[in-house]
Amino acid sequence: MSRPVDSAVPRAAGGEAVEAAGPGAPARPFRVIGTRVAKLDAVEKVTGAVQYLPDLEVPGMVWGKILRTRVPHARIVRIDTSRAESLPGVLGVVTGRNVEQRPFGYARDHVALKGDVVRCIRDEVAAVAAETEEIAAEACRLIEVDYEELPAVFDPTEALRPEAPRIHPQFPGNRVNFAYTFTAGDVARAFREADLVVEGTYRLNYVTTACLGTMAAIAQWDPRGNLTMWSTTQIPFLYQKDLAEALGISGDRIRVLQPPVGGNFGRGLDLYPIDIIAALLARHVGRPVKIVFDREEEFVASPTREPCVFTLRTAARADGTLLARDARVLIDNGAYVSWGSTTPYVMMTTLAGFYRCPSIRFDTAIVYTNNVYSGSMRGYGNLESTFAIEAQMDELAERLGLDRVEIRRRNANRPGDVTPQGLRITSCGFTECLDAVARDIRRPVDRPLRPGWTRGIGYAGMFHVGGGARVYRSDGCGAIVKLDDFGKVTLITGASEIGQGSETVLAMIVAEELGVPFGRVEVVNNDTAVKPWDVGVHASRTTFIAGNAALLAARDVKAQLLRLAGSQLEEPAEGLDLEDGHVHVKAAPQRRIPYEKVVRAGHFREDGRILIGQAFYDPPTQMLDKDFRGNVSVTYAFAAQAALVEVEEATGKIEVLRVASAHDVGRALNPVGCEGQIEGGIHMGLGYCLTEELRLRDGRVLNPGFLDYKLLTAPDMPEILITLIETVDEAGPFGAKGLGEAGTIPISAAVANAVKDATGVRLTELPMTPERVYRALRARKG
Amino acid sequence: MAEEPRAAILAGGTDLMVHLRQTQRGKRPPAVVNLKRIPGLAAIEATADAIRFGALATLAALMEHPLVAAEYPVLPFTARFMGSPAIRHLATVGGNLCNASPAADLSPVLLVLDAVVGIAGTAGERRLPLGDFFRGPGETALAAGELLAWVEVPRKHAGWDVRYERLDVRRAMDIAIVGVALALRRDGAAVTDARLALGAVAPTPRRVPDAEAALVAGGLSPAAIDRVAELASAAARPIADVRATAEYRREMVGALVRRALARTLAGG
Amino acid sequence: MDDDHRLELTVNGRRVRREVAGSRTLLEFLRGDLRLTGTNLSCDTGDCGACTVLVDGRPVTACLVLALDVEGRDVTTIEGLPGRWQTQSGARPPALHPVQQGFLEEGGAQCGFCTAGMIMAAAGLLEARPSPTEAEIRAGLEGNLCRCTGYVKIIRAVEVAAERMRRPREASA
Repeated sequence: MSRPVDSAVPRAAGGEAVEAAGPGAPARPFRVIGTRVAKLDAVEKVTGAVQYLPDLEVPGMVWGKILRTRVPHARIVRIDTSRAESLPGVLGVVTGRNVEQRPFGYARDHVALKGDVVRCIRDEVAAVAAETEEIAAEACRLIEVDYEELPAVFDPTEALRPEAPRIHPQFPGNRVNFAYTFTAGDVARAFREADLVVEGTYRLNYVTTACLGTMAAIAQWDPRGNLTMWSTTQIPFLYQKDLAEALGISGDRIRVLQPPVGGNFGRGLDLYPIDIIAALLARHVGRPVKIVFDREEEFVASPTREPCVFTLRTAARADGTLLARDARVLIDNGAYVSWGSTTPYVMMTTLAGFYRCPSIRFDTAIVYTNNVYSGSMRGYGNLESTFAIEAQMDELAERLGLDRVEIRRRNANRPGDVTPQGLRITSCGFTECLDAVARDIRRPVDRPLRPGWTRGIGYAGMFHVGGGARVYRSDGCGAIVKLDDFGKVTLITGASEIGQGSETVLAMIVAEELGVPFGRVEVVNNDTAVKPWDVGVHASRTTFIAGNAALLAARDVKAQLLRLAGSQLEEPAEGLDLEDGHVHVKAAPQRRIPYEKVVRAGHFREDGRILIGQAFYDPPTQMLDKDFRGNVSVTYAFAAQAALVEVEEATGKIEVLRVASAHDVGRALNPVGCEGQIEGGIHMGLGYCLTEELRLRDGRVLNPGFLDYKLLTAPDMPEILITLIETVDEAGPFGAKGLGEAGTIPISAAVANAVKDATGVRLTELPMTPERVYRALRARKG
Repeated sequence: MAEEPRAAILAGGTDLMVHLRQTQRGKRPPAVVNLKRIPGLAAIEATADAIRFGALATLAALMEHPLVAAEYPVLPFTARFMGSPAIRHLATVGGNLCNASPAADLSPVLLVLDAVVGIAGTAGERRLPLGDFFRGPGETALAAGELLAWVEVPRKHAGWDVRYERLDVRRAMDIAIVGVALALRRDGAAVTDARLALGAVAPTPRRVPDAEAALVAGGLSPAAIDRVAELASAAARPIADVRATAEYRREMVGALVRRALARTLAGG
Repeated sequence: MDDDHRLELTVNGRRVRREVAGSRTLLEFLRGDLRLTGTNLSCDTGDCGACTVLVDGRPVTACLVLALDVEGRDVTTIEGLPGRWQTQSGARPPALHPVQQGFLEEGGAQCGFCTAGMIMAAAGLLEARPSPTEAEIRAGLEGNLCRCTGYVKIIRAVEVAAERMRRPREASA
């Protein structure tokens, strides 16, 4: 069931009565859920009071700067740091040759400071600690490094050849040791018996998160050998564990603090050399060390999205129902394994799960090259998979003479479906999403068509996890809710705030459950010494997982409070409720006490007690087994987007006039937050589609700056029409599902389909720069 | 400046400050001479014959000047493509010309308006047509110890049809991939005088004399438009860079010339 | 080039005097010397607008301005924007500038790193052009990059602020 909700209509603070099963909604109107609130940290951000990591100072702190290689693939023959070390103001220099290091990373193929071989242009060969940033930079210039260049390879197809240079001695053939191979049904037969087979190859290039706040770290050791890190990480507990291993100390010696961060979008999903180097340098010089990437460094050294070549064949019947999909993905892994190497996991779940398709074959080759390596970036493989799938849905429609929206409806996932991998679809509002965008994209356009331009509409859908994702062995999050003597409610959550508003929605959940005003709830979430464990911000999991944890912890403390109030009011706890900051007797609501009085009375007495609720929510899901089967998420999120574009034939320029974006969000707990994530996601997705490309040649980044790595500006953005579809998921907190990545995932496919509609030409490589479009249009003519 | 002939000149700082940061790697100029305190260099003044922009006139001042907007609206129109509002409060007309980027937007427009520059040196002041001022990417006719003092556009083209076409990827903060400036004196469909200049497709912004001659000879007929577009494309000397290939730039010269002429015909 | 010189100017309504090196940028001066860390460093080349401040009411990217070049001028940073608004409008402290207020109401900030520069650019725009169209707002903010919001709520916040500023009595409440 679903009820379309037009988010353009402001939701009054009365909500609507909802009856839903699960830990979800109470059967009364919502006071906080669904209202439009300001983010908890909004005042600090609009007044400039917020302190980002670069703003922080620790007593005794010095500045660190990293020296990177001049060439992408080389042996380090000689490194002489003596001139740097004797520069006044320099406290010390570390290299791969004077500090003890352990390999780190998912494949343990990486060390922070390279002492022997450098494998990509990012590689760190030394780091300097000095009294000022300028002196540290100057000292880096004084470090002498001689390189013996090695033959290098920058193309994955080349890297697979037997004669190709080997990037890592332990990995012959340059193949990363992960296999993502999945089959289901009878693919060969399906292709034989199909009424139509379409094929295509799609090239998706490097893009990067390009956060306004760059990567940074401060490392501080205490005299006992304990380390405090201030970091831009979004996985503080995994970071704590991985960093401990990299440094050869036990994890209990590391404390991770997360100051407000200037964006992340997946950048902070792994341990990176900057973190280890800051710690090594701080240990080496005996002072806290702060490293902040400058903008050029951010473009060169922060993790990218993985470039890939996606080859897909789709088999269908004449009526458009899908029979099989067969995909092969070639991924340029770059020099080391990070999370970009694991994105086939999600490419696969989309290939095998998006739209009903019984027979599936999926295979990847993940190949080392001397290019820069990729991490996770918003969408995590789903953009690429969706781009290919949705291009072919349109092609099927065209060749079968079917309506493009209808073919999608016909193949849509439905509640109760189980995908070939075993993903269980519960709530599913996909067709409602399609209907909404099909309607909204066709609203009148008040701009006349200019001579030389043609107009077109394209559609694309999305399928993604919506209830966590058991990528790691744990998908859990802990929460503690504490009530104080003054009515303040503190939620201590393992979940991290990375600017997306997670702490705000968690506070809303707690306020709603406890029946206290939203303004009374504060969130603590930035210190691993204090907050309970959470696996991290990824996979759009925070509202769902951390939200359920917060809900359960709030429920726990509420039960304790009512029991305590019951003994004070001499009423059974079941006869009490908590509303509007007061505990009252249900049968006689005029008998009520402010809850802070209950709290105070509870401990200012003999045999006192305080009220702390806690919960650890780890969803009932499975990791994929060795055959890539399992239900990795409690529920799944769906969306559809439509784009209205204009293309100028003479130049190849594309303008996007309008994007309609409809999302099955379960329930919109924080409508402002939902819209913000969708709007920002569309910006990032349109960049991927039209203007953003991190250009590498011979392993070097050609455009490490905002001038030539082109983020869309305010005048570039189209009209955006959002619809939030509420299917009220039975397992989500108040029915909510995840949303963080959804706006980004289908938009490139929708725009490519719109360009096809406008011009008759299908672009299969991103970004669709004017030059690429122009060439494709000319090729069609000639 | 006599003491340090290799000193860098600081006007608005929007190019030099970036350059200094990038050339911290041991190649900094020995000194930076900051012009901002020199009085009179920022004025925008008009005589009966010309509008003169002091070298330190900011792009914002150019855009806001009522006479400029009235007589040569193409100038504020073009300046709007450059940088951002914040940049335009700093960047100067003179600084932009002296930076001599092949892709600078104002340059081809000033060329088609027959702009002249005034260069000040120890020996006095000299005038130079703007076309002779650009020598190469980043290189101008300024000798050591000389400063650009002003750039002047004659007012006699005020009734002409002057326009600027530009190819870019984003709507803001983008360097032109191709720029085409066109100034026509028309008499119905006949063209009695023409100037056409290209930007971003050669080491310097430059006029295309044979295209100009073709416009005067053929007017705005379809055949003449084709010919002009071909001549302009042929005159381009584009490079390939991270923004575009040379072939695409060359082809887009033709496309932008056609667009400029089509819009002229349509009266837009 | 890097000798220290005396610099005296007004920052956020207060007279300030320091010795600064010739090469020090206004951004370094504000963040480093004056500890006004509300203005962020993001690209240091004028391409992102995060460091936008007002000099004599006009938005500029502080990373491109030498500190010495604002001698005698009036600089306003995000920290001083409420005070500037209070002086101009008669609103009482702790009233925020209507653009700041608009950002709060419309959700204009997510990670917030671009926010100070964005607000200053918008405030400067509205001082010069009190009734901008949506297109003019977009153009006024074209030099301020945001990675989080897609600019939608930012533009709405500026529209709301402009409306409010046109009704002075309500604005100074």
